[in-house]
Amino acid sequence: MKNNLIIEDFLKEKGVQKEKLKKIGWFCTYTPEELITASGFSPVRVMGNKNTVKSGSYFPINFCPYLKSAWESLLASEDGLQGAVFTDSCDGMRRLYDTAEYYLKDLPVFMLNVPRNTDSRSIDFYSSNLEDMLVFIEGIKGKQTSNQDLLKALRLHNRKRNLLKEFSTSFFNNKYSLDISDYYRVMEISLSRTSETFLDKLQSFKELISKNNNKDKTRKPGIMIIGNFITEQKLWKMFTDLDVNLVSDDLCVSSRYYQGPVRIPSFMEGADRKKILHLIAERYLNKPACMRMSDMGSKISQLKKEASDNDIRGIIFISLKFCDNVIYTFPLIRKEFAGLKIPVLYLEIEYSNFSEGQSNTRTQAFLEML
Amino acid sequence: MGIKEKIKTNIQRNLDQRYFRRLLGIIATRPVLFAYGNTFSSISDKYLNIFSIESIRDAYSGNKPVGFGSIFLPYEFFNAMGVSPLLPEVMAGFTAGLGLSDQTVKKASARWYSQDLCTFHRSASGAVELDLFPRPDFILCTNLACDAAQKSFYHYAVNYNIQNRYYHLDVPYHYNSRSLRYLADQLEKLAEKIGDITGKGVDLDRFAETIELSNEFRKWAVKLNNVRKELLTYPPHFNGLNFILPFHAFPGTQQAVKLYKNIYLELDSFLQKQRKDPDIHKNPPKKILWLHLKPYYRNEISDILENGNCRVVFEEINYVYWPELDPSRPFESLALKMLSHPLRGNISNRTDAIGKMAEEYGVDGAILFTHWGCRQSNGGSRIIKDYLKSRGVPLLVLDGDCVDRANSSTGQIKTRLQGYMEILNCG
Repeated sequence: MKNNLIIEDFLKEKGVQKEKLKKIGWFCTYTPEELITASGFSPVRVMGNKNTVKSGSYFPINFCPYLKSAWESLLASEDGLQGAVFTDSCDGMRRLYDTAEYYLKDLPVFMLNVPRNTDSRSIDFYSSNLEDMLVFIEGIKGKQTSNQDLLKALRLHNRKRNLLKEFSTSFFNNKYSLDISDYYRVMEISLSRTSETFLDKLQSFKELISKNNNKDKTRKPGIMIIGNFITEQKLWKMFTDLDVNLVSDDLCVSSRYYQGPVRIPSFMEGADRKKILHLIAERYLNKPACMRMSDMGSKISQLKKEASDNDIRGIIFISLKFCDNVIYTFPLIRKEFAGLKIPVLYLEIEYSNFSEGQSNTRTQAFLEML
Repeated sequence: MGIKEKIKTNIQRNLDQRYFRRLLGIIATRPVLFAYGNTFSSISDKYLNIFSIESIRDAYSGNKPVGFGSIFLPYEFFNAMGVSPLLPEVMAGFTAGLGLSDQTVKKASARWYSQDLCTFHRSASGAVELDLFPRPDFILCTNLACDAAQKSFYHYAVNYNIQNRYYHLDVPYHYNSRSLRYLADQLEKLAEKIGDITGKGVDLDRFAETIELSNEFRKWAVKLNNVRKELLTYPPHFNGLNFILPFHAFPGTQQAVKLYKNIYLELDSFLQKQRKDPDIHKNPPKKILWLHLKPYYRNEISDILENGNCRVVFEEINYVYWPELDPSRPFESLALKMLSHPLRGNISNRTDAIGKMAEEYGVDGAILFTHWGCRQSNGGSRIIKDYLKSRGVPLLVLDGDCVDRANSSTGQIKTRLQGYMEILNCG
């Protein structure tokens, strides 16, 4: 009960609640929020409305459920956005952008082209695309963003990444009295909060929960979760109830979001805009990759290293339905981890309407097998 | 059972790469091919089949380096590099036509490829798992027009243990001078790598010749498409959706020029006859624009349309979307060709092209075949429908599967087509 109160108190705190600045929406972890923050807006991850009613008439039945939910909330102007930045992350996202551009004439929208390769040429190209994104945001703002504001935003987002990394590392190392569903609630909220106030609150929260750690220290086999944009609270609660020993993850909602800071050299004060955007481009193309990137070999190596470093005994691979990039990766992951004698459980879920019974039975059987 | 059916049955019974190679060695000899060609009722079909078989034979022959490529690459690149291209997605269409896709798709499922994925890629993946394709010297793919190729092609690279020879051409979302340079640079660097693999380096003169041939092919393809703007009576069994291999993989070859010149001449002769036929305008067929692809297994769609007095007068895949290319700037030219593709980037590129086709061919309606698992195309179906509606062209969205017959409801397709034809006031 006490732990529940701690998390509930944290979530209700002023500063954790919605931020007051005008908002620009984003949909993918390849969107550099720094540019939004630097221009005086609050970057907000569009979480979507899970009660999809109208989106069914815009998209086919076998289409990404997150994107359908996102469309539902865009259509209803639920997030009060001043604009939205999309990325060409996948086929579905391209079509979501088209739909927004075609049907929402009053919402300024921008498509950020994110390369799929990560060589220096791609970083240069991405960097120049970031300039276009910044011009788009400046157009909404009606004012140019200064280099000082850009650098300030870089440092703010780096602080957030560091905090989330420390928070996650401690959580995965069982140092907090925080269950899986609470951990992911915090991660989910952090996708749309960046102010100094929020970061201060998160810092205090970290300190508080580490002092109150009364968690059972018995170690069960370590589990790693690999997947995409998983925000299903019922799933996290199910893992909590099954006492899953979660020691690592690779998800859009957590590690793929916070891992890897922008490398800011010591003497940057006189740096021009081009140089700053280049630093951002380097970070985003080198962060833990989404399965949409072309170099699958490096991705698999990264996951294998993660598994080895954390003594992972089993992997739960969770995908939202119809996410081609992730679904195509599953056979490869299964094969590669079979070589390491690490079994992989495949769960496919909707963005809403979670089929708890079936997932529970399968996960339980998987855990027993370990 | 006719000779073609016998060959098909034998292939189904001998699902083995060595058997294919042996069979191609027999069928693709000049006299046999000539005799085989004469079994087709039209010149278009004859040359289509002969050149397709020759192209596949070359890939299986082991005489030239083989490169796997995804469908929307500029194949002038392969042809200029002296590489035999093999297009797994097109081969998946052949697996459907030959009645093999049950087996290839089943194999893919056994290897954990989800049933929600595109069957062009699942079937090709199954074929790779069954070792039905010749071993590639390298694998090249692109994100034009969808995500699937870059993922499934990487699986092939793992399967053949050539991950170090897997290449991805990153086609930018936007078209501007910056993206043109970015893509042209990638093509140039790639040519150096492929030149190292083949051991022949990069021959810019050959690139220039290839691009000149590509322009020649383009000239005939444009002439052919112009003839079709008026044409209502076609050679028997003519189906523009069968030309996906030559249209994409042959540019830059003599075969492409010969094939498209011959199709043009044949269709033009039909047009001349049509112009003299006073009956043609008494009950003219309703003109249909076909969007996306078609089922490649035996199906009734053409018959249903024909019986309902509807005629597919043009197909989206045959649209010449790129300008004439500059032989002196090969990499920039090929980058330009890729960036000109209507399926790149924003859907307005596609709707603009569709709108132009609808207008030029004076169509009464359009049919979008929504192949299961094709997110890039199906995800835009509502916009295409509304766009065409605003131009007075009703669109039928026809759900189905191009490769896996079991995933397509024949009855439903028939009912929907008939309902649509009633709306068009056909029959």
